[in-house]
Amino acid sequence: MDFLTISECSSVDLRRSYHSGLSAIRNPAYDLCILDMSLPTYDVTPEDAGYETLSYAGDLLLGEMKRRKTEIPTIVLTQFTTFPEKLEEKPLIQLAAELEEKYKNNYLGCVFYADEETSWQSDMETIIKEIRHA
Amino acid sequence: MLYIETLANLYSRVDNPFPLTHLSKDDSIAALEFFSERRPHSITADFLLRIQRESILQAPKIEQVDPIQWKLASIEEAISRREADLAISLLEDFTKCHVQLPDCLRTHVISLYFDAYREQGDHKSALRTFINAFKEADYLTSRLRVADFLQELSNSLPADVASSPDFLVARCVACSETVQDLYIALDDFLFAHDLSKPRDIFNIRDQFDTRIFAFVISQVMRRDVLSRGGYCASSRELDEERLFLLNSLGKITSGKTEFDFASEISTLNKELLVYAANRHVNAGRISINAEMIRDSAELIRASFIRYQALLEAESERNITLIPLSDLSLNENESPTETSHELRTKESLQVFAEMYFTILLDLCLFSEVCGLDATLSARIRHGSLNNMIRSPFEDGWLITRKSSNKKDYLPSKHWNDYLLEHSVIEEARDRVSAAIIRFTERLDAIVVHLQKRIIQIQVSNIDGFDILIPQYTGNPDGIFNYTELLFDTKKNEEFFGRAASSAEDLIDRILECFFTYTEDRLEDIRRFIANTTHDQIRECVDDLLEDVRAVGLPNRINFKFQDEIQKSKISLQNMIQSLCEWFKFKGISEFKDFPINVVFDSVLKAINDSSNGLLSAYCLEVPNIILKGDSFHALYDVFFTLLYNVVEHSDLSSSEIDLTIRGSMNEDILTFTLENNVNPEKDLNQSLETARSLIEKSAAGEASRITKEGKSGFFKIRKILERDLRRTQVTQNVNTIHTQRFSVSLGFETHGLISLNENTIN
Repeated sequence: MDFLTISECSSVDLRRSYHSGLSAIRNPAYDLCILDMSLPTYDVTPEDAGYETLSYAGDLLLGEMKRRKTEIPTIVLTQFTTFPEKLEEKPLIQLAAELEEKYKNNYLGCVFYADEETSWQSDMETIIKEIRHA
Repeated sequence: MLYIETLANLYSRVDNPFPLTHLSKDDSIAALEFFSERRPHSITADFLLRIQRESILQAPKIEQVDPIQWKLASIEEAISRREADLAISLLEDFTKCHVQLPDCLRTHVISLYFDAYREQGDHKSALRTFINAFKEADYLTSRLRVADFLQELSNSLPADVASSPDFLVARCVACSETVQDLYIALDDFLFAHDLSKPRDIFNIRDQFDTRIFAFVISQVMRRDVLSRGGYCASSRELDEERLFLLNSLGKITSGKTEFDFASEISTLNKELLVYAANRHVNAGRISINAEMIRDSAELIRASFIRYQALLEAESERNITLIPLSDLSLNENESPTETSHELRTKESLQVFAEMYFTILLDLCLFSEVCGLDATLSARIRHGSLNNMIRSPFEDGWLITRKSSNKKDYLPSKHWNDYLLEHSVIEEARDRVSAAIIRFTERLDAIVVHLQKRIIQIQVSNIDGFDILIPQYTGNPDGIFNYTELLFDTKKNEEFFGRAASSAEDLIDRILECFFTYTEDRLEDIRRFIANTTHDQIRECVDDLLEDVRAVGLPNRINFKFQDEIQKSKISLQNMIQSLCEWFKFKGISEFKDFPINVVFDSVLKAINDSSNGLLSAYCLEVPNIILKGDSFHALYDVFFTLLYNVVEHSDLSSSEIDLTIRGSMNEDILTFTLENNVNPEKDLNQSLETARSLIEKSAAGEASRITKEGKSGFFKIRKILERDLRRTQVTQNVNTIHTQRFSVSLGFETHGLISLNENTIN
């Protein structure tokens, strides 16, 4: 959040689950969506464990944007390098290629986030600058 | 038989190039009989079709071909030539002549109708064919290529078809494997009918055939499907919505045995009960028994009367108060002050004694009603350890101590995983060592919290060590009451002089104590959210670095890294939940509840925080309803018991075989918990220790109530005798056969049983 504020995003709306993300994407007024790939179904609280964690929540939300025709420009930000599949785990690079193919209209790219590194910031900045110029 | 089975399997394959005429007539018949008895109808039909085609091709004369086979082949031929009208005409003749057909042939006929209508472009009739078959029996639609049909329809779908229940069902059958596609089919349907919530579908119930409606509610409107839409805002709402749907459907389908949702309804009800119960337990675990403190007014009544008399005497002589810190309270010291100063000192001293009695003896350190007892029973003993370990259990990032309680066991999960991926022994050992180091550090954080931080501090008061030598408290304890105890002069002016009675004095002090404790609770929440969270994160990051340093293949490193990332997310959620414990318990009422809810809630709490679920348990308890206000106390009792089962068995949760039995004899409710233990454990020693502890607790020894370690029996007795006011508490331990330990607990139920039919469910 601090990074986004520094990057001069005028307002940032934080949503913490697939469900709250779904209600947000119904509003097409956003200029940009930074989307985590894995999310709990519902906001996790001390009372609610969030039902289940959706490993591909980001993909589902991009699909919902497409279905509802509210295709907000989206950067996928994830801290996972692999994603579960039936037989073998799917590496991030493969997932990114699939997202690019499926959501040509609004998928801007995928950024890998790691606590201890700052390269994700420059990756993110590059994409945001491109949006601004566009 | 194996020959026929093999033969039948071989010849049912559509890719088998060998003609069926290779089979003798007897073998053909035997294979057909085999199929019709054992196989799904679609495979039987495929096999029949091959026989039909080939017998038609091979037959020298048409008359020698079975008439049914011939007609069906003709219809197929018409469809393949795109003569749909002819095909339908032939089908109609056929069905008039052959009303009773075996299921496998009926399936074939239905598929021919479906294909013919599709070929004709009559999509409505094709859809109707599908639905009629589906209504009768699912398997009759097994040969229909519904997914292709829907794909075909998508380009030219009339609005009335798109919003029809038939179309919804077709879409759901076509995509039944994929939750997201089911959700989209349902969502499109609800949107088309302007329905915002799933339960609104009952408003258009009359558009559905009963069987179709039951299918949509039970098989499509499942929780996993509903969770993909924005219909419900939380897990609880989701469960409630699903429960509503099933209960409402049950009213429509009552009496029809094919629609039996009793099992799912029972499971949902149980989950909602447990959810409500755990919410009640975890939303604030701090409670002080103010009523019991007020009832102790007798302890200070005589002193209060004396105090008031002294004050009156002092006011007549216009005496100035001298702060306590300026005075010596040593009884043996020769008084050098004037007589009025002695009286001043005495009133202040009397007040100080009352004040300390209320605050120290009752509010803080009473084993029966004080804060320290609550912190011990509800947080420090067991629960805290479980909670802090929980984020790391799913990823197997944590291990446990061996039966000697000194060494840690290696991580079997990761060892097996690495072995499977051909990692050498030295590397496996290094990973195991890293996990053990991490576990040690995490356990040290827990111990530090238990023994140093989540403790009461009162010792840092100048001159007060004379008055309160027995209360040393803990110098690091976040629950620091020094300030509240320090300025006796100020406290005397604020509380003592204003109080009209002993009870009034207690109330005033209690009010201040609660306010002060709220601030201390905020301190501990801040400590946990910041310091503890940071400490644990640092340990997690170090674990990741240690594993990376082993130099494992990238794929395995990524796997480990992902588990660490998941654990960090869980850690964040755990910290948030843990902070909630440090709030005063709200006054919200808990409804009367069936006794099994206590066990279900406790077991869920233990299972949520230990890998390898404690699932091998048998629960047989009487079907009695207890009063809601007894829930939390009973939860504490059975959590303590069950936590000790896991802790002292020296087994992992998945290895424990636990039985819980309850019985009611007149007014006495008795529970027996029986479980296996580690074969290396000295059961006789454990039995002797446990019996000794039970004896001491029964004898009234209370000092262990606020301790952790060998204190379970004391805490349980205190909760039952003091909090629940039971007078006939019994605790027993026994060994059964070899290496099975049994604990039983009994108490009278008088006053606990609910007579109210309006229970939590």
